[in-house]
Amino acid sequence: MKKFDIFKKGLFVENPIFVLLLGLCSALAITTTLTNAIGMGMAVICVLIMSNVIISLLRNIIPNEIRIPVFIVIIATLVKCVQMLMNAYTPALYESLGVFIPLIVVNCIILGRAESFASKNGVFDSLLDALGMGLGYTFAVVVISFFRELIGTGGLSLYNPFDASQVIFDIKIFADYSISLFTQPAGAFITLGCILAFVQFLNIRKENKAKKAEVK
Amino acid sequence: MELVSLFIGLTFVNNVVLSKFYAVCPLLGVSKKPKNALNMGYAVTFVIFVASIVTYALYYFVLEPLKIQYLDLITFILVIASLVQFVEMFLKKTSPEIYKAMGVYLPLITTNCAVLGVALDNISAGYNFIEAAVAGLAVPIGFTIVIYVFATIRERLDIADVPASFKGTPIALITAGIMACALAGIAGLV
Amino acid sequence: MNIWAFVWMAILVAVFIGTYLWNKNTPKPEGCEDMSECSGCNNIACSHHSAHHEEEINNEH
Repeated sequence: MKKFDIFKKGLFVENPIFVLLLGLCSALAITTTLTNAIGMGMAVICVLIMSNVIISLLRNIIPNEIRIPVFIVIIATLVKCVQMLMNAYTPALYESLGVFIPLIVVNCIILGRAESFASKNGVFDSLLDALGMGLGYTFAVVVISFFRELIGTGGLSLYNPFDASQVIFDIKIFADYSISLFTQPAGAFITLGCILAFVQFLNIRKENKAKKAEVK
Repeated sequence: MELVSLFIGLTFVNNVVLSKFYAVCPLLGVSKKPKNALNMGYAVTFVIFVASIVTYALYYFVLEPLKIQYLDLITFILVIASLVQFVEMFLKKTSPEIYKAMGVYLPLITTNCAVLGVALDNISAGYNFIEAAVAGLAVPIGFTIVIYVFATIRERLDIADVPASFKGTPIALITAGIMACALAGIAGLV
Repeated sequence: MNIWAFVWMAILVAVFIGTYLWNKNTPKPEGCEDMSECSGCNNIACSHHSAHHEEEINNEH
């Protein structure tokens, strides 16, 4: 498989949230604001890259029988390190993401990529796969939080994660007409449902085109 | 009395699935038939209750005295995973009927955010032992109620006239959103 | 360097790997082979996932 395909498939075709439906717990919970979404995406990318690379480096040493336990130990250690680093360098983000940073450990994406890709492929391929999946995850949560924050609060805002007082942008578009349901749990489900319906609509259209081409 | 309000709060108002988003993956993946949903609920209730007590005890009797609180995440996940493996093995050896009904869902509970989430929340909310045990019981009972109701609704959704783009997961998510609205309405109860 | 941290990690990892292997080597009772409930689930860490059964079939050959 060409190198670029490995990277590209994590973005759209096998997007972890929209297609594989993995890791939905965090996708629904932290997408209240754009800053949270980007911060969580960065954390997941870090953990995913490091875990894929380490597991790929160790793939010939780990006995085949106990690979899942070893993966869990490696991923838990990495997540704890990332959590402590975030507590130190990005305290505002750490506060708002709360318990969902440690819950990256049980995020099915990380263990899934480790088991299905990193344990069987070389280091550079695993790195590309991790980067693709991580960026796909970040893209997905950014899309969800874009809609939730825009409709829920009537504006978009982005703060520097390292220094919470520094505002990168803070646009208020229609604060009077915002539907605050979307910042609540119910709105998260509805937003994700509608986005998945759109993805399914695109898939159905693609299948219909393929069927018409076959008939001809 | 505080324990009762804690119980009701965790079961309904701050429901683990619809409000705290912990167990969403099983909600979408497992809840097609109500009977299976109920079986999953039993398995989850048992695991979360025992895990909640064991992780609480380990945190306050091992990690704090030895000053290794930073190992809490690794401790919890390994203890939960070991517990699930042990329960599955125990069921395989002693009761094949229960294993056939519930054992399928046990490995899924290891990567279920709910167990780890409850364990971590017990510590960060500073509960005492009784409160942690009540939380360990209330959270999975709330999960079971939601997943059972959801399964019965999904049975009807499958034969309903849903637009093609919405069939399957999208309409299930929107249903979950409406259920979450309903629970948000009783937020003032506790 | 806190020695107890290493001791505790070693205990945890040993207990986990012990229970994991114990569970893996306990055969499933008859009639439990095909758990078709999980066909739509993408959670590959679950031991019932079909990817693990394909491996066993490949290993037998």
